[in-house]
Amino acid sequence: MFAQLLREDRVIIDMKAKDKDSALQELLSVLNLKPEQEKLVLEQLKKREAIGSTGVGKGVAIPHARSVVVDDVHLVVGVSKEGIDFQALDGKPVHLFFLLIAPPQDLGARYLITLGEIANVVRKIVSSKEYLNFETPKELVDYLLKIYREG
Amino acid sequence: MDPVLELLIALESLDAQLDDFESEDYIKSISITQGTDEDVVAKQVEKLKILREEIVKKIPVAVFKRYEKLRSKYRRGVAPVINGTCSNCFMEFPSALVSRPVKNKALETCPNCGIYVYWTK
Repeated sequence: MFAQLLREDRVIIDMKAKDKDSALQELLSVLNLKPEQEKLVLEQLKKREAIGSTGVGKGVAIPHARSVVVDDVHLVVGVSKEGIDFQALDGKPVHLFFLLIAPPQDLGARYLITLGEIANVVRKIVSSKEYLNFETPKELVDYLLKIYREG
Repeated sequence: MDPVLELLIALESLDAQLDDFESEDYIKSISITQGTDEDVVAKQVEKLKILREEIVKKIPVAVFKRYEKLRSKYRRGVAPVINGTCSNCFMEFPSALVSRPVKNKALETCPNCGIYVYWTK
């Protein structure tokens, strides 16, 4: 599932955002939703963050939400070389983001499966920080797919 | 957008999030670097329920009751209309309704299954 959702045009290799809200906005902008839809999804992402940061620690965040206004599961990957204060669980800046959004009911539970797959990928890459070295979306996608396929 | 529809969309999303918290897979995924801390998860669920209550207070009672009834029947109270079709019961809406330039400005329901609808286009 992760491999199907990971696309070069859904990757931001050098995020400009400096804080949590603008990071969510920047990631979401890649999906080219209508302004009304983007606003509603952003609100859901913020509500999810309000109950506990999805900055899981070690420089990684997995912001996620469900919303009626999206018709499919979408994944956006973003890298911030400087790091963004995302109020992560360990208090450290976040460099790698996996934004996942989905409708409330998605066939085949793709949302939860993909979240699990992202978690597996994150476990393998957090220590090396190699993901900070890539210059193009293609390089990052190839790297993440390689890690993912290593099983 | 109709303000009550906007609230229902937010409510549907929070209810789906609450359902996710009942999934072991979800808990594992969000606890990758910290391990699963039941207290943390329980607190997040409590906060989510408070957010839900704040939304519920703003929804007219009759609309909320209908939403709850729909959710117990279909596991959702709001469904998108995609390409003119209700994504809950798959009934095609009349073309006169589909071709309207302005949608989501009033609270509407599917004439077949009665679910609250959000027009995607």
